Amino acid sequence: MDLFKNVKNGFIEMIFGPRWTYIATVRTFLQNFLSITLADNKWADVISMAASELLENAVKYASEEGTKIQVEHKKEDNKLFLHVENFSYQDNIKILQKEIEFITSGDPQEVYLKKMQEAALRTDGGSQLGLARIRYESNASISFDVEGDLVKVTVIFDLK
Amino acid sequence: MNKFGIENVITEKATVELADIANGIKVTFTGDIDVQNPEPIFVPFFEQIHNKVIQNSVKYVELDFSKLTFLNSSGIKTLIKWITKVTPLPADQKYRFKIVANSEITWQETSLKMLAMLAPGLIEISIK
Repeated sequence: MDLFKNVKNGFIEMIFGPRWTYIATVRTFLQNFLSITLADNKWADVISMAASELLENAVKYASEEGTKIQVEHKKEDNKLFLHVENFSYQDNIKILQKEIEFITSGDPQEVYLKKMQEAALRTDGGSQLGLARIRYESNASISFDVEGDLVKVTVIFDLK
Repeated sequence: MNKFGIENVITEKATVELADIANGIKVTFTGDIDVQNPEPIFVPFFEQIHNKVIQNSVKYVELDFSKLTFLNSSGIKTLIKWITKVTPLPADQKYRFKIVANSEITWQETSLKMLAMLAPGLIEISIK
């Protein structure tokens, strides 16, 4: 059975929603699960925060049902991969692409500060802070893939 | 009730309470702030406090986050909006913040330190 072949890496996958009310449940589950799995509890906090921020974006900008979250702990490299997938509109995908390019272009602290200054002037409901916050608080790398209207954001945490 | 007569904010998962202290006022955050759009809840509350603080020449506001277990980035934005209202004020109207953070809640140390960078010289951080 495939289920038992992948034992060298820890793996979680959940498909739901997208519903805002599930986000806190998923965040709490990940926080509890990872605090048992990972040696340093701080990573459980940081990764569950990152998952929560990505899921918030997935719910806000989804074009149809279906949000998938995957967490894979590659023990040999001591890296944790967090993937969040959802369907979105092309306009939102373009905004996300520009956002990730900006977020990953400079020093995490400087980028986050710049995004905070921009957030102070925003009058819509969004903050556009989530991705910058994840990078600043974790020093993780952030990337994304697009296939049609399916968007997959990947955050890689170096747990060393 | 506090001296400003401002009602506390109570949501399903969080409370934000305003209290009088000897040298100013204290705002205590408890629970999780993770609603989709916290602005209609928190921005008017923070604006009321800001206006009363100026009217009453209060010079010290303590923000105690030590019992706040989660704050999403939209919630962070509401705090940014408050703090950045103080920086452009004339010197006689400016007031100082003290942010109280809990070292056992990982996001607090990192996220709350960044708030201090928005208003250099106006925010002190105390991590317990």
